[in-house]
Amino acid sequence: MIETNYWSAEIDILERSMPYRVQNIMLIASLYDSFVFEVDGFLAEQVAQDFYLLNLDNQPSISHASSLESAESILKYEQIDIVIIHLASMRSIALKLVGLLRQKFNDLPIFFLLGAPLDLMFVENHQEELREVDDFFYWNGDSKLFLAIVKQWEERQNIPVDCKLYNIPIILIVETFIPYYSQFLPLFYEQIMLLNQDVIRREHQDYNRTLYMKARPRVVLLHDYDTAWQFYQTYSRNIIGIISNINYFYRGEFDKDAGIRLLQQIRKQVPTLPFLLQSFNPTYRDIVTSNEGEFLYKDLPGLKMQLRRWLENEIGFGSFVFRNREHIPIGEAKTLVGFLHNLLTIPDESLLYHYQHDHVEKWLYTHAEIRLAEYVGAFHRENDIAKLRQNICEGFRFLIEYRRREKIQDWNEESDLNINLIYKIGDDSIGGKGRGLAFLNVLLNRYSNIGDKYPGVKIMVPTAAVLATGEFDKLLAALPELNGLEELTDAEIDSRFQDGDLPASTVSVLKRIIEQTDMPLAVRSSSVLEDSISNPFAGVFRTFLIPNSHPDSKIRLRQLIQAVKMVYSSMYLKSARVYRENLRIPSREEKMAVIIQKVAGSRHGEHFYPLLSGVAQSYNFYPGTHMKHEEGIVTLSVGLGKTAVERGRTFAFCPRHPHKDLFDKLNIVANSPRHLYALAPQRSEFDLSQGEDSSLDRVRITQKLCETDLNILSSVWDNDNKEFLTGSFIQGPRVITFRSILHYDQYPLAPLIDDFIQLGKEVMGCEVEMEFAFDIDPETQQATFYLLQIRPVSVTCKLYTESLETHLEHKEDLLLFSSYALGNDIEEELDTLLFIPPDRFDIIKTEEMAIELEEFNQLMRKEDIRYVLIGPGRWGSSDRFLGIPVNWSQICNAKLIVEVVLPNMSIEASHGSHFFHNLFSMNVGYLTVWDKAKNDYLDWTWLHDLPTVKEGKYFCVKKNPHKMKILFDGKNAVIKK
Amino acid sequence: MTMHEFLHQVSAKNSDQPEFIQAVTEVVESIWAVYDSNPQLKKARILDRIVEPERVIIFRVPWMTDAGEVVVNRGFRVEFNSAIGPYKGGLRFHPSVNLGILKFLGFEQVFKNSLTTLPLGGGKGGSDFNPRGRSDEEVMRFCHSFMLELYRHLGPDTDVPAGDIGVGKREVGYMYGMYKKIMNECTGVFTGKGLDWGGSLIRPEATGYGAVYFADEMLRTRGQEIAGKTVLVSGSGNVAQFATQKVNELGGKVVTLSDSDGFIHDPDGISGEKWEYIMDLKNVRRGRISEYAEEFGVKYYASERPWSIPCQIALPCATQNEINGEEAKTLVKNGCICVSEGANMPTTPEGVEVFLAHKILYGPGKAANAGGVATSGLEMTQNSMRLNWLREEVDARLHQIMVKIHEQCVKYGKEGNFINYVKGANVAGFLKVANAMMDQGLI
Repeated sequence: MIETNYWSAEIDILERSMPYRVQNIMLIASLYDSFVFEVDGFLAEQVAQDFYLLNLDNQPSISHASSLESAESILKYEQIDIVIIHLASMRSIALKLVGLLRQKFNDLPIFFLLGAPLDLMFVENHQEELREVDDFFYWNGDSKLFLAIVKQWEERQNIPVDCKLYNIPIILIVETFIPYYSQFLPLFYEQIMLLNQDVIRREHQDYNRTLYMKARPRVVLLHDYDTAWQFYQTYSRNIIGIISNINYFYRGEFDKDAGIRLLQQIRKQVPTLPFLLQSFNPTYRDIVTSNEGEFLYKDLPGLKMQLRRWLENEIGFGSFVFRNREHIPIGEAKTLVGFLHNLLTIPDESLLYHYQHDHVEKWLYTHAEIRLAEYVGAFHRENDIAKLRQNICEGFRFLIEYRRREKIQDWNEESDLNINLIYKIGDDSIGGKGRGLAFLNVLLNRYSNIGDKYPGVKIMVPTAAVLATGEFDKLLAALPELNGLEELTDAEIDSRFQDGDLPASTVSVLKRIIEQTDMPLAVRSSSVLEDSISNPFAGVFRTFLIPNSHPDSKIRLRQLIQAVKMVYSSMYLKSARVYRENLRIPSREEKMAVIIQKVAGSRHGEHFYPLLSGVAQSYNFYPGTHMKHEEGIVTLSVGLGKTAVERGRTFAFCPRHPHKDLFDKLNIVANSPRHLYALAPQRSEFDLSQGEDSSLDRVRITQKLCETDLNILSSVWDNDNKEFLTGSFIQGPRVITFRSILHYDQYPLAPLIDDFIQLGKEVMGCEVEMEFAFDIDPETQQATFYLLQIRPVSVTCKLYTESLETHLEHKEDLLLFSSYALGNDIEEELDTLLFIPPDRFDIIKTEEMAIELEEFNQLMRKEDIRYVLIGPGRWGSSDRFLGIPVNWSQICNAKLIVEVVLPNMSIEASHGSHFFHNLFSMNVGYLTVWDKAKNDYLDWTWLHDLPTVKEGKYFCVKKNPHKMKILFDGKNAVIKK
Repeated sequence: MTMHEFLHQVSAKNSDQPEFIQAVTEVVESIWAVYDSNPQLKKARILDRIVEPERVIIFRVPWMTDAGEVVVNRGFRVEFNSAIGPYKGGLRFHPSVNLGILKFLGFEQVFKNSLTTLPLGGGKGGSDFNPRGRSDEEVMRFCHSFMLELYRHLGPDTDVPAGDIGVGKREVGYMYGMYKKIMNECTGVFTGKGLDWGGSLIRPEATGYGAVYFADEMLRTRGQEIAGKTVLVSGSGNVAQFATQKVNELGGKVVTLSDSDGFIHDPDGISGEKWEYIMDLKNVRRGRISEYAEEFGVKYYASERPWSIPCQIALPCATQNEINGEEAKTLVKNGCICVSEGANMPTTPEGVEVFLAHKILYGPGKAANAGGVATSGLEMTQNSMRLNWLREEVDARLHQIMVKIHEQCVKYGKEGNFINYVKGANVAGFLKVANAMMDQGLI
């Protein structure tokens, strides 16, 4: 296992690399030439544009000086990084200038910009005096030369530092002819940067683009054999290619074959290092090739293409070509995934050949994969070829899983559903859920070290391929009869879709998916409007889970296509139309993407399911005793997540307090899950038109299942002592309690969930809801935590934007204000109030009151009236001295319950748990109005004056002529009269 | 002093304890006639002494939450009366706990224990600590802190607490563990312990079994027995389940069981496999009783109580106020001759009046369901003997105790040929304590 830290260090390394940047350039030229530079070439603007077009973030500014004095004055007041002297206009004082600058500013780099043939002669004739000049360039009107000068100087400064950070790749250029390299260098930089950006676009995230551009190969320009050889010896580990002129100085003497000598010398050490010799003289071609170098004719018009080819084929910017012992190509990879596939299959000899010649490592460096290159380069002492292959593949796999998950990969011929990624098929949007999935990956990789914190648990987002909305548009374009379906019934709409054919390109992708996996697949809607904070669209569209287990892949494909079509058609069904109409969203704004995702889980006996699924919310509307709203709430169900999402028989806990039960033990037993949803791989035939459940099995949770597959989730119930006994050796009736995991921390589920919802909250900036699954593979015992979905929770935005306390300014409009409210906004507007006036309340007679209240509730039930219940003391407590001891059935028609704490009462911190569970699952509000709380308030007089509907010995039913609005903000609540 | 004056005096003295006043009123009203006719007791002002606890201990219980916060709760032990044995009564951990409530519970406990005929005094204790929503570790820290003060007041021959609301085997275990560590002795200082470390068998069964034994004893006064009789049982919890089992064992036929939603009527009787089904349904699956009707194809009556079904014996084992006047009349009309209360106060005062007026065998809860308390006494005995009795042995002792309770009720409740068990139980419980106090002088 390679830790996430290992990969994330890459970002840190790159951030620290290339620390030196040229910020300010001083150009010394005559006024006239400065003017010409500006007018003719808009120099500053051009330079800025050159940097911009190559996505370089630092654009140096240019200051102009036209004399020695003005140069001195600028240097006095500004921080100048390099000086460029325009020789043609400064020729008369050039030598003086250099002398003075060196005298006063010894470290300041000086470059000469030649502009006329005479300048070349001048340089030739004053070699000794101009020794202090750092380099010479020839102005040919291309502003990119400035970029090249700047980058050259930066490279020289940065290379020693960068080499300490990582094994940076360097391309060495040896060239003496000033006009040639002044043209060549800008062109070469441009090519490198463009190719580097191509690579980044393919493999890295957009937001990391600038950072990964720092991983490009460095270019070093030298002018003679000796410095080149010395440089080579110092940086031989880093040099990935050499481009050289042929005739230049060799040991102090001009040598017309110096380049050949360099080639021969290097070939003695590295037979395969890409070495390009260039000359105006084509007769060198044979000599060069016979020395195993490559020859390039200095023909500038075709140079760009040739250089690009050299960079792609030799330096590694292009595909990696796998060769056998005879150097015959046996495979090719453009991407890391493709590389991994080849690595798995190439013969040992090929692997050894590439590995021993550092091809893999260098290709990776060129591709900005610096950590993977380092990792791969570390096995040189490994003699066992199988182990070597395994190690290298592991590195690739880990990196792909770690970093590439963040990037939504375009589906291509190398795509593999068995590697954990999110793929996009087709163009345009991947829809709301798709965005959510992509975001989960970002969350997992970039913002957290959660993975490293829990080494025993594998954390992942199941692989998904998303049919982008472009595919849907294609379908609609091909089948115009699918437009305007509003008049049809749901069944007719479904059959229209089933009768239409998906575009052939879509079908071929689906076919590849089916060929790649026979694991169960989830086919989910991902409409563009789904999961946005304002329109959750939760549960409006369809989701299918298919076992994908039929031995005949054609039938599996047919099933997948049926599911995809059914998801598409769900966009037009009545429920979706009504939902859109209610939100006033025109149907044309809605577009559907479809997610095809591996189902989380593993095979348990005859079924496939995750041990548990759940929904975690960062904000708990019904916090239990000693818990806070912001500590969140998690509901768990056994098996596939259908029950947890639908709030069936689920188990709830606070992720911050997993050791504490939210409900009492009897309640936990009574509500413990009795069934789980699972896929049955042996059921390979099904008809999805029968509904979303048609492919699922509802499995009874038997004692036997609890003792075997679900052992970790179950406890023995000791009814005599009303206790749970947790452990596999204990005999007795078992119920699902999740205790081994939650109370006894056998797996760090709760802290893991808590970490993720807190992180989600932090990065999304609002409260969040997260779907997840957790599984332990029965065969490998590997625990896996699957992040399935994350979405913002709408109500909490209100929590932060609109405080209900503002309503207190118009207290006369309020029936009550509560500063301790459990619950969420109540859609229904109520007008019936059932309450007991404080003067009729007697703590000794609460049991009698409960009986009367039950009768009132029965009446309301018969007439189907939901009401607001108001009374002193704690509701739902069985203790008759705390309040009226009602059970749920006695007040089941109440939609909102108000507890009034009278002056002589103490407030109890906890809620009766059966009762609490009902509040929770039926979304009934519970407000406390406490006279000691600052803002709490209840208008008894107004209540008293309302028309009476019915009156008992204790209770009173009143009806408000107006419907009342009940508002919650997560902490407070008000009822408006 | 009249009863009214006496109660007024108690109210004035305990004006902040309405719960306690209510309990004193109920007891005093039931025994005033006996007290009033016994000048010896009056002279010794036994009633004045009996309503005042012998000792009340209130103490600070500081402990630390998992989050490292310090919480301070209040601990109590009301040692009400030890005239006939060591203080005995549960500990309650609940936020509603205050002195008034504990005095109310402790006062009732004195007479309940007395009626068992075992040498048990009365007491009650607890704290306003709420174990709900607390982790095991927090509960343990609280229990340890609680015991660090209370231990000095306890002892197998001094004060023997048990569980109550919020105090189960877990809490008893933590407290007993700390007591043992401090005192360096393994004595029966708690009841309700785990079976492996000093608990007694038959504890869950005791109340249900006891109610049936009591009914059997009552029937014997009329030369009858449970065998062959049709029995209505309400409820389906512990008491109802084991009452049903014992009725089956004694040859009767239980035809109903209920829960808060309704009742089932199985004319063939609920026994054997059907009884096992109920045990699983209610104890493990915690389902509704209506599922029984679906499973065995019998009739289910939604939102109704079982008292309309003809029977000879009724065992209300569900909850309080489940037999009102009308229902009592129906029972009597349908031939019911015996009612033995497994629950606490399941019959309303109107219902009790009906039973007494028709002179049927009516065993009130305080006598008929004393089996639970009695088993606590048996646990203490076993601890002292360093022995664990077999089920049969505990069951036999329980049976004996129920027979003795019945004898006491008969002794004090006989009104000509009729036995008023309500009166008998109240007087027997009171007189045993009162007489012991008389014997021990003014202390």
